[in-house]
Parts: sequence; structure tokens; C-alpha cells
Amino acid sequence: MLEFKNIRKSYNELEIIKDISGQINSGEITALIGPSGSGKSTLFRLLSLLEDADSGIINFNGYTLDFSSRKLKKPTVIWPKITLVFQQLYLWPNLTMKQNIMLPHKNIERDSIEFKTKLNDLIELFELEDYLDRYPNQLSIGQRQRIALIRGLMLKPDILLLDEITSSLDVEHIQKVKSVLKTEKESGTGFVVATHLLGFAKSVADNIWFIENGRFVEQGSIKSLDKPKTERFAEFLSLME
Amino acid sequence: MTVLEILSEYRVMFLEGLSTTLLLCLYIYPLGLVMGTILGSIGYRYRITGLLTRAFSTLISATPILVILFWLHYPMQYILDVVIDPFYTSVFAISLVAIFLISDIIYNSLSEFPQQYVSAAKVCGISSRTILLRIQLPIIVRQVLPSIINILVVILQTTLFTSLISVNELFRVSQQINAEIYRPVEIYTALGIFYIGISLVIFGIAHFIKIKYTRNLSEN
Repeated sequence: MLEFKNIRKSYNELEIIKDISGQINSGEITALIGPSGSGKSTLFRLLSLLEDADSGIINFNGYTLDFSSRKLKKPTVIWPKITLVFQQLYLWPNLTMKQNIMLPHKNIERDSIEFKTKLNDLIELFELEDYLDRYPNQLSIGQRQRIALIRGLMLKPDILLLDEITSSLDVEHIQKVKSVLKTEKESGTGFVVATHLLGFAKSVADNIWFIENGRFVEQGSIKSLDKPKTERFAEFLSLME
Repeated sequence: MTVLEILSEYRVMFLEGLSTTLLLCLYIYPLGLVMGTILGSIGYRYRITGLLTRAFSTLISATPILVILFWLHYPMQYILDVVIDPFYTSVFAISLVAIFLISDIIYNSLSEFPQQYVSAAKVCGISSRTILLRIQLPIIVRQVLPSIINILVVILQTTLFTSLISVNELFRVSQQINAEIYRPVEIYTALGIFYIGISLVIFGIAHFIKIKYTRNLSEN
């Protein structure tokens, strides 16, 4: 479980994340919804500890990070227990798709039957068998998105943050992503999925966070999508449909 | 005498000079490339080393190579009470220049490297060493290759200054032939042909590396 309290982040005196709190539970999927520029990607960078918050606390697997403390010491083993699939993917352009997936793993891990089986299943599911030896710039954005998702899933994270990973996928592949996420959450992974697809959120998520102007306007169970508590969320949902 | 006649008549001397010039390059190039890459990478990872490297790099590139050679060959050896073969003094001096120039290029390329690829590697739990060796350096090779080639050509031309401390390389050989027959235009034209020839080989190797080992990484 990852818990965060009173997280704040500013850039050049402009506050992007304003006193946000929440928790990501193991085996649950949270959909992060909000307009462009609302702070979703920044929140992901903070929760994945790629950037330090200005203040607030993050608890993860027994570690407590108090960002107000001057003696902040990050645990070195945090990645890939928490990991992030970026909206822009950032596949390493000098490596083939297969190398992109394999690079984070040690040889002994790559050779395990469990690893090979899971990888083969995902590659087959996402129809990428013929593209593994190609480089990122030789593939479509949708294919790259699927590879980035596989790269994230193969890390077996406790918490996986997915930033708009379905934005370039067709309906069939979106269905496949849904089924993979459901399977993975059964094995205990906690997900936060930033998405603009209401149907996708409804069908996979257990919880909803609605963020706007760097604040959580609404947080709750999936039922919030049908019965929003705030007018603003209701208005936003009506536009998403 | 024409250029061709001079080349033919003094071919043994020219070949001796050429072999010394090539031998200088043979020592200096690997030293410069390997040590420069290591120093640039260390400088990028450790702030203080980076500041020191850049300070030295600025100092060395601002100092004429003639002055460095002179200082290393005469006052320095007198102070240290040692006698070192001018060839090795030249190798040391020019390697020093090459190392700092190349380290500067590597440092700058790493500093300007798109950090998103590093972030993506970090969240995958990849070590800094692997990030540097498997992601950053391979990506910057293509980017820095033209600058590195320019440096190698400049270094080649810099070797002619070693004649100042009596290294019998191409330029010194040309001076000796000129003292004998006094045909400066033809002799220095012949000298130019040698340098152009070696430079073309360097450009050719660089082109081969670019085609064979690097690829266009830009996305559609």
C-alpha cells in the first residue's frame, strides 16, 4: 500500500499540486480523471518518487518519506516496486522492443520459466510477436504503448502508475488492457490509471480520483461515477460521456 | 622539381615522418577517446569532478599546444630532473589536450541528454551504471561523432608542433627536405597531401562507424 498525505509541489512559485492526500491499495485499481493540465502527470512523478514534493508525507512498504524534513533519505529499493508508464512512453530509442523489455531484468530472472511464460503471454495477447526486433521509431504509437505497458507489467511492481496508456489504442486492445489489469490486480498489484475514457474507468476501476487545478475535487469508490458528490465532477463526467 | 618528383625522391624520409605521425596518433587517439569518455562520464556523475574537468578543459584549450609542449619538454623535465624521449612527451602533451577536449564533449552531451529516458530507466530499477553504458552513451555516440572526428583531425594537425621538440614527424621531415632543396611550395603541398590523406581515412572510418553501429533514432 502507498499512502500520501498533504502533498504539495510548486514550480517557479506556481503551485501545481495543492495539499493532496490519498492511498493506493494493493489489488485495487484507481482511475485518475481530470482535465489536461490538472496535475495528473506531476502527481505521478511525485508518487513514483521521481521528483520530491515540497511538503507532505509518503508511506510505502514500511518506508516513510517526510518531504518537510531536511534530512530526506530515499530508500534505494523503491524502484521498480513503484513504477510508472509515462504518457510519452520514453522507450529507449537505441534498443529494440525486446531489449526495452529485457534491460531492467537480470539474466537469471529472464531465464526463469515464470518470466518467459508471462512475457510470451503478454506479447501474444497484444499481437507483438513480429515487432520485437524492431526499434521504437519503426513502430506505431499504439504498438509502442503496448510495449511500454508490457515493460511496466514485467517489472512485477507493487504499485504501477499508468499515464494515459490507452490513448492510442483501438477498442480491441483497450479490452485486452482491461483484462490484463484485472488479472494483475488479482496478484496484488495496486494501479492508478490516468484516463480520459469513462467506459474504461467504469469497467476496470475500484476507486476514482477526480483532480482539477492540482486538487482532488472528489475521491471515492467507482460508484462516484454514477453518483458524483460534487457538481464540478458531475459536470465533467457529463462532458466525458 | 615537381611535387610528385619530391615525393618520389624523398619517399623514404617522408615515409619515416609519416610513420612517426601515425604512431603519435596511434597512441593519442585511443588514450584521448577512452580517457576522455571516462572523464566526461565521471564528471557528469560527480559534480566536483565535473567542475574540475571543465576548468582544466578551459585552461588547456586556452593554452597553445606549443606552450604546453615547451613547458613539458624543457622546464618541467629540468625541475623534475628527468629526461624523457620527446616522442613520449609529445604523446603525453597532446593526449592531455585530446582527453580534456573529448571529455568536454561527452560531459556536455550527457548533461543535455533527454532526462526522460533516464527517468524511465530509473523507475524500472535500472542502475546508474547500466543507464550510462546501455542507454546514454550509445545514444550520444551518433550525436558526438562529428565533433569527435573534428577533434581527431585537429589532433592530427597538432602533431606537427612536436617538431618543436625534435620529434621526427612529417612536418619536421618536410623542414629538413626544404633546408636541403629549398622548394617550400612543392614540399608543403606534398605535406598537405599526406595530411589530407590521413584525414580522409579518419572521415572514412567515422562514416563506417556511423553507418554500421549507429542508427537514426528520431521518431516519425
